[in-house]
Order: sequence, then C-alpha cells, then structure tokens
Amino acid sequence: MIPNTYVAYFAPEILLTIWAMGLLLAEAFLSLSPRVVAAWALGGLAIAAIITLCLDSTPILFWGGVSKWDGAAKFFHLFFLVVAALVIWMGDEVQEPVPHGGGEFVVLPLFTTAGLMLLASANDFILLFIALELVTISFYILVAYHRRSLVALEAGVKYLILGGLSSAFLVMGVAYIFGLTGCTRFDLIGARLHDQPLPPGVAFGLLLVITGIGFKIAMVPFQSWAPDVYEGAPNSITAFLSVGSKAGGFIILMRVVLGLFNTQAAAAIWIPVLSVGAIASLLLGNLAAIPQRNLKRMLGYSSIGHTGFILVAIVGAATVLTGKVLPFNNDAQTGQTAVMVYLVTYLLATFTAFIVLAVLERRLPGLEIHHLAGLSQRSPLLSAALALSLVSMAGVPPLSGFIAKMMVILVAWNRGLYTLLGFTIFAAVAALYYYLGPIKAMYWSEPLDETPIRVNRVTSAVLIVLIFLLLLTGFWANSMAPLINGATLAQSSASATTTVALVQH
Amino acid sequence: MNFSPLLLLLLAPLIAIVFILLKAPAQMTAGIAALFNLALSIGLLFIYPAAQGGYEWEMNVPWVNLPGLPPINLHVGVDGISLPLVFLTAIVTFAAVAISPGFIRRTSEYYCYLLLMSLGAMGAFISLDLFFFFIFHEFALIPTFLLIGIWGAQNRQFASFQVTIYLMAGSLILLAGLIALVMALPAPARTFDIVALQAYVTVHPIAPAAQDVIFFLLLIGFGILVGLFPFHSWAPPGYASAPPATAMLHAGILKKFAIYGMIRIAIPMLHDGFETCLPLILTLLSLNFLYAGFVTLAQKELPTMIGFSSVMHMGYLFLGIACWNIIGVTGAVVLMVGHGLSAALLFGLSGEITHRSGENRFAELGGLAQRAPLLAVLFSFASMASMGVPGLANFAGELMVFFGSITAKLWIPIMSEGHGIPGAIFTVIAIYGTVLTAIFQLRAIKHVFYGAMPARYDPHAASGETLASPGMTDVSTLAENVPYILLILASLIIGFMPFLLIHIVEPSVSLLPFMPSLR
Repeated sequence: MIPNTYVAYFAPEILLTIWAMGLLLAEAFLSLSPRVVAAWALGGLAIAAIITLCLDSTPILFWGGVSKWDGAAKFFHLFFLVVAALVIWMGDEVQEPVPHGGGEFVVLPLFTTAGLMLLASANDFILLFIALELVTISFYILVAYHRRSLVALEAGVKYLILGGLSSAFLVMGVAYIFGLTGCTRFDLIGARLHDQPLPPGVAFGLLLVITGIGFKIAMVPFQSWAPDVYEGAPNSITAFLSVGSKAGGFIILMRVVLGLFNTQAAAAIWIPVLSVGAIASLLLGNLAAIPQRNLKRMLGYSSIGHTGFILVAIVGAATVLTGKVLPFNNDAQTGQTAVMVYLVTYLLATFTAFIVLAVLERRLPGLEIHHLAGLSQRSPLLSAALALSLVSMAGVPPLSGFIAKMMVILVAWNRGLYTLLGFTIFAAVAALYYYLGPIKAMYWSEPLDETPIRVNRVTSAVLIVLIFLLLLTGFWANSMAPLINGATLAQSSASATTTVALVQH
Repeated sequence: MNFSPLLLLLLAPLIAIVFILLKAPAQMTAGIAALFNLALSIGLLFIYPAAQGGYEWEMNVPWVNLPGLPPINLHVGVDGISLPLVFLTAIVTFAAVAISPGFIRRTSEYYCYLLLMSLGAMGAFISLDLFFFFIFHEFALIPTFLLIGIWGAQNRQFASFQVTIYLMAGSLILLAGLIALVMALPAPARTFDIVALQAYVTVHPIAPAAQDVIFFLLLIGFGILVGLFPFHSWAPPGYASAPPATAMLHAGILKKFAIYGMIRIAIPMLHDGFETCLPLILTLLSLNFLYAGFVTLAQKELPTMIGFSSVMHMGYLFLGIACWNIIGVTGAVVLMVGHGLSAALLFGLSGEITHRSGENRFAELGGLAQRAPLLAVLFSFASMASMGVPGLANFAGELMVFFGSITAKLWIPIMSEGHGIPGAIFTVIAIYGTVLTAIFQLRAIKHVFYGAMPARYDPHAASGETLASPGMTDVSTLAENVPYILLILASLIIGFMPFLLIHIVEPSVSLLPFMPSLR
C-alpha cells in the first residue's frame, strides 16, 4: 500500500520520467528544435529541484520499504540535478549543435538523472538494479551518440560490454545474498545478519556486488573502460559519467557497505577489499595519468585516482573498523562528510574542465596537451578556468579540491588508517606533476596560432560562476554547509526495531 | 567583530591585483601596494606595545563549521615574533617589485604573481589559525611555478617542476602533521585555532609517543620547505633558475615560514617530541653547515652559489631554535630578518650582474668593478651582511644564536652513562660556518669584480670583435639603486641598533611555553 503522502518523496523521479517521455513525443510530433527541447528539459530539472528542496531530510522508509529518504538521499538528489542541468546545458550550448531531430541527446540525461535519483534513495536490491539499468542503458546511447565516429563507437562498445558485465556481477551477487537471507530489502537483510557470523555465500555475494559497483566508480581493477570511454564520448557525457555515474556508484556503495553490511563480520571482508582497491586506484590512476598526452584520457586516469581518494574516506567512514587500534575518537560523521565534500569539489572542478574542453574541441585541431600551447594569450578566461580546475583537482589551496584532500587526510588520521594515509599523500604529490603539464603548455609555450578564441556570453558567465565557486568553497568551506549539514545516511541495520516501526508508520 | 588593521596588509595586494587586471600600469600599482604595506608594517612596529609581548590587533571570526570537521576560525593577530617577519615581507616585496624590469613580457601577469607570492607569505605570518597558516603559504606555490616557468633563466622547465613538486610533497607531509596535531586532542577540544590549541596543550599535553610521531612529521614537512639537509636539493637550482624577484621573495620570506612554524607550533606544542628529535635536528643542521657549506665553496656559477649559501644559512636559524632559550630564539628571529634582507640583496644583485653581463660563470667574469663600481659596492655590502660582519643585521642575530647555543648546554647522548657529544661543538661548527661564508663570498667578489676583465665587457678595447654584450653597465639611475640601498639601510639600522628589534622580539619569545626564564 502506498500512502499518498509519500508520493512527494518520489515526485522528482516521477516528474522527470514523465517530463522526458513527453518531451520525446513532443519533439517527434511537433518537430521542436533541440534548443527548445533543452530549455524545457532544464525547466523540468528546475521543478524537480524545487520539489526536492521542499522535502525535509527526516529519515523515512516508503513505498513498502523499498525506498528510503534521508539526508544523504536529499544531498544526492540535488547533486544529480545540478549535474544533469550542466550536462544538458553543455550538450545544447557548448558542444557541436545537436542536429534537428536529435533532441534525445538532451532528453536522455533526464532519464539517467531519474535513475540516479532512484539509486540515491534505494533501500532494496531490486529497485537498485532497476535504477542502475535505467542509468546504464541511457548511457549506452549517450556515449556512442556520434555514431559515425570510430572513437565514439569504440567507446560505446566498450562501455556496453563492460556495463553489461558489471550488471551481471551485481545481479549474481544480489542472487547470492537473496538466496541466503531470503530478502532483498537492505534493512531486513541487515536485521538478519545483525550479530551473526557472516554466511560464506553472503560474503561472496557482497564481493560480487562490490565488483559490480567497482565498475561504476572505476575502481582498480575494474577501471579499464574509463580512459577509452572518456576519450570517445562527447564531452558533456564524459563529464556526466565522470561525476554523475561515479557519484551514483558511491551512494550505493555507501548504502551497501556503510548501511547494510556495517557489522564486524562483514567489515572484515569489505574493509580490506576497499582498502586494496583504494591503494590500487590511487597508484594506477595517478601514475598512469603521467604519460598521457590526450587531455580527456588524462582526466580519465585522474578520475580513477579520485575514486581512490574517495574510497579512503569511505573506509574511514566505517563505524566498525576491525583489527585496528583506534587512537582517536570514533565518529563516522567525518568520513561521510568527507565523501560529500569530495564529490561537490570534484563536480565543480570536473565540469569546469570539461566545459573548457568542449569549447576547445571545436576550435583546436585536437585535445592533446601540446595543442593547448599559448592558450593563455588566446583566451585568458579559458586557460584560467582550466588551470584552476586542474589545480583544484590536484588539491592545492585555496581551491576547493584542497578542502576535499584535507578532509580525506583528516579522516585517515582520525581512524588510524596510516597505510592509506601514506598512499594518499604519495598519490597527491604524483598527481600534481601531470596536472601541471597542461598549465605549462597554456602559460609558457608560445602559441602556434595567435587568433584569440572567443567564448560566447553564457559560457563565459557559467565559467566565471564555476571559478568563483571553486575559490569560494575552497576558501570558505562553510558555503557548502547548507548542502552538507545533515546529509548523512540514516543508520537502519543496527536498529532493526526502529526500521520496522518506520515501515508500519 | 572589530576590523583588524592587519587585514589591510592582505587587502592592499589584492586591490592592486584587481587594478592590474583592469589594465592599470602594473609595476606602478604593485609598487604602490608594496609601499603601502611597508609603511603600514613600519607603523605597526612602532606602535606595537612591546613590553607585554602578547598578540595585538587580533580578530577572531568563526569561519568553517562542518559536521565532523574541527572548527576553523579566521583568526589573525601578530606578536613580537611575527611582526618583524611582517615587516620583512613588506620590505622585501617592495624591493622585489622595484628591481623588476618594467618592460618584461606579459607584464601584468608577472606582477600579479609576485603580489600573490607576497600575499601568501604575509597571510601565513599574520594567521593564528592552522588552516589559514597553511593555505596562505600554499598560495605561493602555483605563482612560484609560473614565475620560474615563464620568466626563469636556464633550465627553468626542470627547476620549476622540481621546486613545485618538492614543495607540494613537503606541504602535504606538513598538512598531515598539522592534522595529526589537531586530531590528537579529544573531540570536543579539537580546533584549528593556534591560540586555543596552545592553551589546551599546555594544560593537557599530548601523549609523548604521539608527540614524537607528530613532531617528526612536522620536522620533515617544515624541513623540506626550508631546505634542511638532506631536503635542500630543490633550492639551489630553483633559485638559480628563478627570476631574481622570485628568488628574493622565496629565499627571503617564504622559507622563513618553516622556521616560524617551528617556533610557533611544533616546538611549543610538541615539546617532548622536540626533545626526542633534538639530536636529529642538531645532526642535520650541522650537515647544513658542513655539507652545504663545502658544496657552496665548489660552485662555479654565481646564482647557484648564492642558492647553496642560503641553504647553508638555514643552519643558524635551526641552531637558534634548537637551543630553545630566550637569547637563542630571539637571535633566530633577528637573524630571520637579517638573512631575509641579505638573501634578497644577494639574489637581486646576482640577477643584476647576470643580466647586465650576460654571464653567470665565475670563470668568464672578472674586473667588473671598473665598469660597474656602484654594483660592486652594493654587492660587497650584501656579502658582508651575509658573512655576519658587525654592523649589519646578520651579526646581531648570529651572535645571539652563538650565545644561545653555548648557554643551552645542548648534549647529544651517544651511549648511556653520560657519554655523548657536548653541544658546544655545534657552536664551533656554526662559527666555522661564518668562516666558510667569508671564503665563498670573498671569492665571489674577487671573481666577479676584480682581476682581469674579459675584453668583451670593454667597448673601447673590443673594437673589431663582435660583442657578446654591449659592454657592461652599472646600476645608474636612482630607481635602480633605491631598492638595494633600502635593504642595506634596514640591515645597517638593525645591525647598529639591534635593541630596536630585540625589545620587540624578546618579550614575546619569553612568553613561549617551555622557555627557560632568564630573569
């Protein structure tokens, strides 16, 4: 039974899905231009954002318990809406114009967003899988959108095959967990497993689920698709994958490992697995990015590195740390805050970089680093925006990436994760080297072609706002407080009784 | 919330940057901002109530309060230790802006980056919050990278990457140490505010084992930033490649950040850790004297020699703080100012020589005093300051450090039962360091200004030959001279009347925790 009042928590997803279907039909029958479709799509996102903002973040289970609303769900809903707005705007305004009749390029992100938002509040493996498929299937189309380009096709095929594979892993894992516990709802599984030794089958299922999620967040060793797909996909979609899809992966990872498998026995499995994944991602992502000459590939590898940093924060957010002496106090809050702060700063830096790349792709012969030579003389705004976003990703203050790195180091100290801390610092230093490469090209090298690159007004304005936010969130991190405060996972597994009470409510 | 005049020191360069971006004449605007800061900092030196030695012009605003993150405050204020460094920052910035060529390519960018570097140093010295203390210093990282990369001399590509990555590594280790310090406190007491942290740690010291680890991290982090042996290898090539103004700002001011951090944070808050690490510090600093000193002797190029000499002189500063008594630490602060002035002079003048003669190898230089007598006088003054000749600021500082290190009764235990190295040996090594300095500085003067002049510097003799450079010119106009004369004047005033500075520094030093009382 669905109590009427709870529809509100689902309204953004429902609205976006209906809106997107309506737009697709309208585009087909009224032959709207892609510009108009994009404008309507942005309008839909705005309404969904207003609805989300009106909801408070009191934890609640609804729709028979398959979905859960809490601070983290609200944070991620807003996060995905912002991402989608930037993606649709980029697709329409910054990149090559969408051909008439190709409006699905600006409409499909709405479906993806609805899927991501469902993911953010999923409390059931079935819903999680459906949401994930909604996200992935729309991405299959978007990644290979330029279907006449070979690189795009290669990217599309890679993403399709590996995406399918990761879904298969996930479903297999869910099957094991369901088979041994008899339920798919997170809170019920948590209650079953509570203070019991973990059955080996469930442990195996957990590993398979982590593998499936590992593909989404590009965790080593499941990262191999990222650089190729990043290079081949249109810029807006690369940014979408890099921020939206990754954040989607992280929210499920948090729901699964910090919510449902937050027990001593399970933590003994996932903490080492994620720690090794974090170290491998930090090393491979940041070291393999060094020899890259193509900017999009470089950002692909760097995004693997960022996965490593965020994983350190997730391991640090575990309330049960096994086999570790906790020298300092024991608050899980810091770890979750670190994840959210990291994602916000990553969103700002990544979109700044990809908007610049999207502008440049149409003006430069290619996106190799040497093509950037002398950009600072050709367009001070574009070079400043790209430089600041790269420096922010490198974690240099006073840009916002520094706050994120600082939070990760803080979490690692707080929880006594000294090995992870050492690798974090090593990776951050190594990362600076390749982030400086494009800056060197833009600011030192002499331009081959001196013609100034003009940027239209709206794009300039968006870039200036993003630069401002990069500096603001770095220098005054409290500007993120309205988003971050209260944005935590509601703990349910440890207290099954309250969960049941919530369901009956 | 009261407005602190210290914020003006940060606002002036920021406003100047905005004006420069709006196409105001760059050098003039930057110079005006620097002059304003210089005047303000001198004014503050005079009205600072020195007798109390506490923080003055404090401003404390809650700044960041995120769940799970200890509170960060925007807390500024200066005392007798940081105020002289604020003055040093202002005067060196002014000199660096004034000696920069007005016709350099991409002028406005150049001056913006210089101002950002200086802003970073200034912000770090007036911050009383670990977060701001750290991020202001890091402000300078990217401008330094760009300054060396765009306007640097030979080998700039390698040097800029090496300096930036080395300093980033040092900064991150330092950050890990600072966070460890904050997180070592129980959750409710955690804060980034230096004053609050100090107050808490004085009453509830951190466990000695944790102190050792955290102090070691801070020592490595600060050590990399200051060029403590064996972490000095970034400095000489970096300074040799950097444009003179950048080397002046970095060697003169930004490096002092690390020594200041040791005095303000590491040693008072982690005193047990300091005592554990003391033998290590003493060993490394004597290697700074001996290793870097002899390496300096072997240099064949002027800028690299000055780079190594500035590494070597960090030994005195470390010795001064290692004694941790009033005379030693006061000496270290005075010497920071003195060394800042002399390093700025040497880097600026070596830039003049290299630029005007087109040559930086000793073997190819010589006899330039004939063509550039004024430059020779200025360079000799700078060398004397660096050697610690009485009457210049370095002498006052070095002498106090020597006295401090003798009275501190330092002792490195080697085995149990009282065997060990007496600390006086470090005083001897430090005094030997002044001898080494005299050797290489005098040799530099001889090689550059005396002896036979290569014919290409003499337009009259070189008739018929193609000239490598159109002779050699002297620093002739007043505008070219003023920055150097200003720095020498400051060094002379402090050298002849060190009490002017000491009476500001000493009360604040005597308030530092664990400071043995003299009275």
